[in-house]
Amino acid sequence: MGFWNLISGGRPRRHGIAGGVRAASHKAESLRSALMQMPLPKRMIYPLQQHAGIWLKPVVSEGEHVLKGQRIADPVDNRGSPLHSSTSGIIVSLNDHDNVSSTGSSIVLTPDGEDRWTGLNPLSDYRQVSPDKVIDRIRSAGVIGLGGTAYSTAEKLARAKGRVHTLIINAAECEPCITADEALLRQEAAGVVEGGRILQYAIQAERCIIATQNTKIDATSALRRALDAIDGPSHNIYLMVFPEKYPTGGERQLVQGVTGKQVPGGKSPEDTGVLVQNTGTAYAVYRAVQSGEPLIERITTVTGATVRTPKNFQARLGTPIRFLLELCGTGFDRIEQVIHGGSLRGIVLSNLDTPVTPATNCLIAASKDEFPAPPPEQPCIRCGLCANVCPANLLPQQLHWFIRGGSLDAAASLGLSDCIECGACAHVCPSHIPLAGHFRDGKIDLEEQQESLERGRYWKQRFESRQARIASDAEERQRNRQSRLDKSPASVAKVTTDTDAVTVAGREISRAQARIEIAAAVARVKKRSASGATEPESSPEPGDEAEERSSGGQEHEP
Amino acid sequence: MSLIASGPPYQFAACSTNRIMLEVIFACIPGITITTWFFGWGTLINITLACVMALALEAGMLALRGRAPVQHLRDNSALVTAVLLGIALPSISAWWMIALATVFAIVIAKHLYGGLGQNVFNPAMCGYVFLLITFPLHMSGWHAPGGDEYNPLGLHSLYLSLQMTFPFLAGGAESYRELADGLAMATPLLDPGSAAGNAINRALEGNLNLFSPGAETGYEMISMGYLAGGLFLLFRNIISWHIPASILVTVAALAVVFYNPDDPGIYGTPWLHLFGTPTMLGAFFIATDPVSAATTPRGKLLYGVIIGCCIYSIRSWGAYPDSVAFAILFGNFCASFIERVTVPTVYGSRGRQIK
Repeated sequence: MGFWNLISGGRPRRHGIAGGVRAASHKAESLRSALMQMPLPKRMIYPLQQHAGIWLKPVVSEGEHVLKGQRIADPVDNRGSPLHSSTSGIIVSLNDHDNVSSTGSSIVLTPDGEDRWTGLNPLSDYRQVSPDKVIDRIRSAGVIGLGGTAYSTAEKLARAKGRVHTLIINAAECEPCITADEALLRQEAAGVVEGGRILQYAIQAERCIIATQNTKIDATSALRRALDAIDGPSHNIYLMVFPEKYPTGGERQLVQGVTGKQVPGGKSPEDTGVLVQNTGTAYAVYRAVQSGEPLIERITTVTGATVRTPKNFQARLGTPIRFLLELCGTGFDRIEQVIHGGSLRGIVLSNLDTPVTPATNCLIAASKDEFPAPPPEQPCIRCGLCANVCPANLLPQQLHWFIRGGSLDAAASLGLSDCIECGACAHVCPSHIPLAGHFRDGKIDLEEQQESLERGRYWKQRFESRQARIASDAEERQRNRQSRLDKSPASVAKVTTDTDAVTVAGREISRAQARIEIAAAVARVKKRSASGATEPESSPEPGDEAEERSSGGQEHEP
Repeated sequence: MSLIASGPPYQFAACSTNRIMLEVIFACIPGITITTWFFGWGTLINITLACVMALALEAGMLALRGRAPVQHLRDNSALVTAVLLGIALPSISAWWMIALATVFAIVIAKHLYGGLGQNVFNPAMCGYVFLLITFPLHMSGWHAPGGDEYNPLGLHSLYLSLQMTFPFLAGGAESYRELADGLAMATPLLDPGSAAGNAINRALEGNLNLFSPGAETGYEMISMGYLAGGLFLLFRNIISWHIPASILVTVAALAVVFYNPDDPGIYGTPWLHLFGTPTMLGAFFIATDPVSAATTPRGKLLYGVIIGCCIYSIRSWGAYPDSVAFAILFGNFCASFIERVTVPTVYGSRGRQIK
């Protein structure tokens, strides 16, 4: 390290990233046009489920007029972030609507066309306030991770603060088709760099590294210019350019590439002293702090063979996806599938009226020939191509073998749960085996198995402790009895016989009592049904009922 | 518009098992061509017969096992087995020998183990070793491109070769034996002192003439052909460097250690072990069969070392004239054990106990 510092002037060194594949990138199409502002759609949809299990509660009512940037929903707990209106207009409904991830209720708004801002509250010089204040500002602006996790950025920063020495700004957007970060960097590199510095200040990280890929030539040179333009001689924010490979932009892969360390399985990068933030998130933080704007838009790539002019939009959150596709002149009749995300990890949309969410980095309106279904699956020939590309250094061919054979334990011991589901193995498999899908299923099965084992262990423990309790109680009783016997054997024996006689007598009495009670109850029922048959309209008066009940109660008295 | 639900990924690399197999066959072409150039039509006849039989047997076995024959035949794996078998068998083999070897390879070594991807042993080598054990004398006779009047590519040679493959054409077993005796010679390794020593030394002394058909240069040129094919496979990323490199380095190292400069005939020269024998074919084409080889990077290196040691020791101290087939089968046998002890460290699992 010392020697390296000497020759590099303290610049951090790039490390190797395991595995990876060079897939056809399909990025050039959407980078031909400039980043575009979009007109207003007829309505906006804001889902109230922010992330799996994170719900929001509306703070506006139907018919209310809201301004652009006005808070319209609050999180129910601190894992969520407040939601802001992305334009001015009238709340038409707080109804159910299909969301991208699942169904959930949503707020629907009709824009008034004026696009009028609410009053904004910028932090003019963030270095004058404490890092916690900066995090609070980011929290109230509702900034959430734009890299796909949609987790509250402020929450992540608060947890990382003081534990993290390196902040990584992830500009290594590596999945085919997606160019959202690249398009943003071409225009707003300075804003991204400033966002990185704000984040660095907020968590008090020693250094900030912007990681990008060598194929993003314009973005890289824009970043270089932005970094050169920072005034002040000693800043510790660096650019690191990685060779093109998928999935370099994976969180764990970037940690490996930047620090040379690996994030242990089940831990987060923060545990190794690194925080990774997406380019878009850094820019949103910059806007939130510098001009007080809440998170109301993100960059979305619209591409695919059926799209006439693929491009990147500054898409307002809540815009229906169909509207974005229409803006690019999409031939809807030729669409085979619309993929939300990239072509290696995305999900197929079942409904085009779902809105743009913070996770919508890319929309691919694919034709039939663009991403044809793979040919029929063939047997695995153990060629090992999958193991070569696996960024987690797994042996997919062995995992597949064991999962197929139902040996989940063997697959688990080979590291099944360390699979990041990047899909590189399935991408290269010459036998067209859907390995990524098998591993996803295998991981779910494994979790279920472990859960049921946990449950079994819990109940076994409870059962065993109960058995132990019963045994110790019995022992205790036995001991007491023995001690009594030891004290006066004859008297104790007599007492015991007496008690037994009393018990038997008591039992006889209670049985006779029960017989009388049953007879009384039968008589009551007979009487009531007879009166009900003669006077069907009349309902028993409350007094009657009460009397009956009280008399019944008296009858029960011994 | 139809919205089909399928899981990611949606984009695939242009690579298929069918294509991998075809490229392996393609990479055999230089070696086969040179073999034919020096030794006549026998190998081509072998390959053709083996291919026809292998395809028929494969289709039959697939049908018996309830698989769709047409779809699975397209994976070309039976063709690769047949081509490698055709190359390995002596070029003066009768049709029924080729048939026996193919049946053993496809039916027993491949499909009885569960078909493509499930076979523990390389099918082509199983078929070859079956014949080697059953007919040791025949299998140790190599085709000799004899004297001056012998033209391996001539029509007369084709006629002779066909007569040997189909003995009934020549009128029975006796004439077959005469033909075979007339065209066979001992493997250069059977009597290293005379045949190989002289042949290789002469080749090294500068007689190496690419275009004069003769045993001296023939074996080396064939090895060069398979080396070229193997480099092509490496370049195309169909095989990795680990297995061929470790086999060749091991064989070369052992050959250097045991080389006796005063009497190179005893164990042969390193050059003989690398180029005067089927080492190249085995290292690049047969040991790299992914199904029966080890698949982890360190495992491949260990697998290659084991095969290299077996090649050298069986060849030098064993009873059989050559050893590549036995060595590879022994390597296949070890592969699953090798893989257990060479699992790479999973990302983020350093220090964690792997069972």
